[in-house]
Amino acid sequence: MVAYGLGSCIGVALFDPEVGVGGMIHVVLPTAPAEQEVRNPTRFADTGIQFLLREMERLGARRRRIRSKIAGGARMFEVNHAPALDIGNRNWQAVRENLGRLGLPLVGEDVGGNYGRTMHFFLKDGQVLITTYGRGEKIL
Amino acid sequence: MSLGKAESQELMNLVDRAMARACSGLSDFVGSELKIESLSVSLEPAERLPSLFGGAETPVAAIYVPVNGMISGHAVLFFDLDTAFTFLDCLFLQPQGTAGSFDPLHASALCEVGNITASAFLSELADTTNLEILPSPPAFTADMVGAILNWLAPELFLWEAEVLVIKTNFIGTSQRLKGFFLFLPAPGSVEKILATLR
Repeated sequence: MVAYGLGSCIGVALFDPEVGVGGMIHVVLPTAPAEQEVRNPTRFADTGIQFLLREMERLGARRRRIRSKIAGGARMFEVNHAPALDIGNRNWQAVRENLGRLGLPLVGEDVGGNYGRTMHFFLKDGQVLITTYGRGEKIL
Repeated sequence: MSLGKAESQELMNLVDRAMARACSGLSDFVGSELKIESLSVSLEPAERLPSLFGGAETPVAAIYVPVNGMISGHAVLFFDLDTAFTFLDCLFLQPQGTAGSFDPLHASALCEVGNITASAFLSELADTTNLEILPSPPAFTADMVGAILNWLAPELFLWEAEVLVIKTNFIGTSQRLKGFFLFLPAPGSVEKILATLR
């Protein structure tokens, strides 16, 4: 599974090593809007992580065994006067909060900074490979 | 949002004048005559934007100019990397093929390229619409185009929004310079522009 070109977005990979069940979501914003129907819950940290957990449990994963890895949450340009553009940091906080609330340990992260990332998630062993433009690769 | 035929034509005329002004400013700055080879204005689904640049992972040089005032949004000038290096060689009066990376001096020079382009475009827009438009200082990065776009306007990718895309290719005296100028008005700003054109 691959999430291409993550900027402020965060890729969240969950994996249960015992049964080899895993999944990844691409979080765009911290919270789902309350006032409108959410067509794709996986785009929000609050609804997305819960949704992925539920789907994995249906396939035999168990919450106590699931580990999480995350990447993204960058601030692509340094512009001081645009606090609304610090969405990467807000996404990061929301993802961490929701993982904590659901009792899913965070065992690897590559988050923040001012550069984009592509996140590759390998279901055979739960490994995550981060690729970048000009900043090398990283394994989580 | 949709554009009628008359609105599209008005918008195209405006963009035509604005990009001509931007191109003229850019030519003066780089000291070499640049012409607009092609120009198009369209409303595109936000999710298609990365594919216009060759896919989410395509590396680009991007100069971002935040836009505020009565119209707000984001103005971004994208170059493919070879074009950015060509500009740098022109600006630093060095043989073509010399520049191959982006140090802080290069970034600053390219910021100025973006600033001139965006300011010229926005000035024409302000003159035509009589709306106050205030460009902010530019910022530069070289990175994956998908990462830049989803940072700029993440919400666009959620609501299947359409965005106003101005695509242009510049051509220099000796080589083709591939650039895209993207103006992403904030919600409500396109309607304000169109209202002044009616």
